Amino acid sequence: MIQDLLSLCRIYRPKLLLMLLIIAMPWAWAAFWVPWWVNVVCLVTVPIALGILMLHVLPPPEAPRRETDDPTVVPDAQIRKMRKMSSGVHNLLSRWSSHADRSRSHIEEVSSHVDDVIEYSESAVVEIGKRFVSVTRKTRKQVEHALGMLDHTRPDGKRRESRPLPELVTAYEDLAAKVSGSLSKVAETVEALEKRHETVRKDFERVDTLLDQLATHDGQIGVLALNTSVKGQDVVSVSDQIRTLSLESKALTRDIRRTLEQVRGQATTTHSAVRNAVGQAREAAQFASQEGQKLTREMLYNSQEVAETLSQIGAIGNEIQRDINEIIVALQFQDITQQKLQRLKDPMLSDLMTSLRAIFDETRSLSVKLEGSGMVEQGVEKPTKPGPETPGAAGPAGVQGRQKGDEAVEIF
Amino acid sequence: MARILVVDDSTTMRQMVSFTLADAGHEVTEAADGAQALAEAKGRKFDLVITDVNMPGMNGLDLVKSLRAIDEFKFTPILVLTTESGADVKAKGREVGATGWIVKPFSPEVLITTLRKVLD
Repeated sequence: MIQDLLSLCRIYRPKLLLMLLIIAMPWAWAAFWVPWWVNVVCLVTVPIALGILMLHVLPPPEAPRRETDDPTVVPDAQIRKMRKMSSGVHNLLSRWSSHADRSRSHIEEVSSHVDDVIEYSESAVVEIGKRFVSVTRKTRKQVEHALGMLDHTRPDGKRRESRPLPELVTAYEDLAAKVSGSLSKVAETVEALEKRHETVRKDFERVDTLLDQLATHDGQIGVLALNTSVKGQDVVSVSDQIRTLSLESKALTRDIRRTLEQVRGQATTTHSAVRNAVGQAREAAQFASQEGQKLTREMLYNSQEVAETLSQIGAIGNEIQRDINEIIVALQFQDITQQKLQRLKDPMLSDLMTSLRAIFDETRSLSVKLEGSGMVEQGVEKPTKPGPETPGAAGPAGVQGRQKGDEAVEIF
Repeated sequence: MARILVVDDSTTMRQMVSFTLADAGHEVTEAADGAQALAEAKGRKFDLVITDVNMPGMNGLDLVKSLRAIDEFKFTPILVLTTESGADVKAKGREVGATGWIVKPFSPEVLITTLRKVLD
């Protein structure tokens, strides 16, 4: 209304002073005779009267015609409608401008956060990639260490100084077999000794028997001597008997000597066998001790090498764990930034969509009015409503494909 | 080995926490929001609860409050794992009964150490 009035003032500018004089003339004539407050009321009502005159009474002044003007005469009412429409368009454009400005700042903010997310994602992906490569290399190193341990080679591919564990086990088995063989021989010797001991025991029993017989002969000789002195037996007869006993005793003595010779022979053989067995046992023990010490040293060295390798594998395992921890942290950074963007994006896009919707509604309403006013030709393209096949088409790139029921992005 | 309930609306974050805890030999149950966590809590007993703060529906602090209202969870340690690090929100956490506060992104070693302290 005020804008219309101002526009009319501009149009009637050449005649404005004259019109003011005409309206104010009666009051000017009576100004000196009326009270002061009547003058005040008149001062206020004169511009109002002028406005009413311009708006509703006077015909709009004809603008000087130019050669390019449409020859058809435009009715005044249509001109007023056009003015109203222009005012509406102006309002719409100013609102549109403020919405656009606000939307631009939102989009800039979202864009900045999207840049941040992209940057974080890129750095996270790079970091994760690096760590994965590192983990893979370290795992391969662990496997190489383990394989080296099994193959008994150093990380540089050279053979280790000690024998591998399977060879050591075989050497232990060989040593055990040799010691076992030696012990078997000793056992055989001991068995032979036991047999000889049995023979000696039998020989001693025989000697005992022979000594008993000798004692019997001794008793008989005593009886014969007593009979000779007491009963006065024939000396010749006694002498024969004694000779017989003497011969038997001699034979017994010979038997005893022979048996004792046998026992001595057995004792000598046994002594020799025992000495041999003891020598064998000692040799076997010395061999077992020396070989055992050697093998034990190698086993110790081998187990030290295994422990060293396991320690290296463990150290690499710790490094891998650290890499995995870094991956976890990088993933979290990426996720946190993404969540922040999500929280920011929804309200801002919702606001933007609301603004666009309001602008669309006003544009459509104005379009309908323009069409109804007859000031635009029929068939002018109207603002169209985005169809369901293009959801979110008015939104910024990357926010399409929203879920059904999400009010923030459902445009219509 | 402890039975732990992990509550976070971010799948990535949930999986990271679960991976770290499972690697340390714990039994982990996951929940995507406060309501799901309460449903899990009503059916089972847990030795520890780890929850995020900003979640859709019921937020983490409300969840802590609701859990403290259940008899079985009156003395169960509840850790808050969140990006929020302001003194006021921490004070709110303490007020509703949270046992500890860990700021994201967490280091797995720190998480495990804190967990041991709380469980001991």
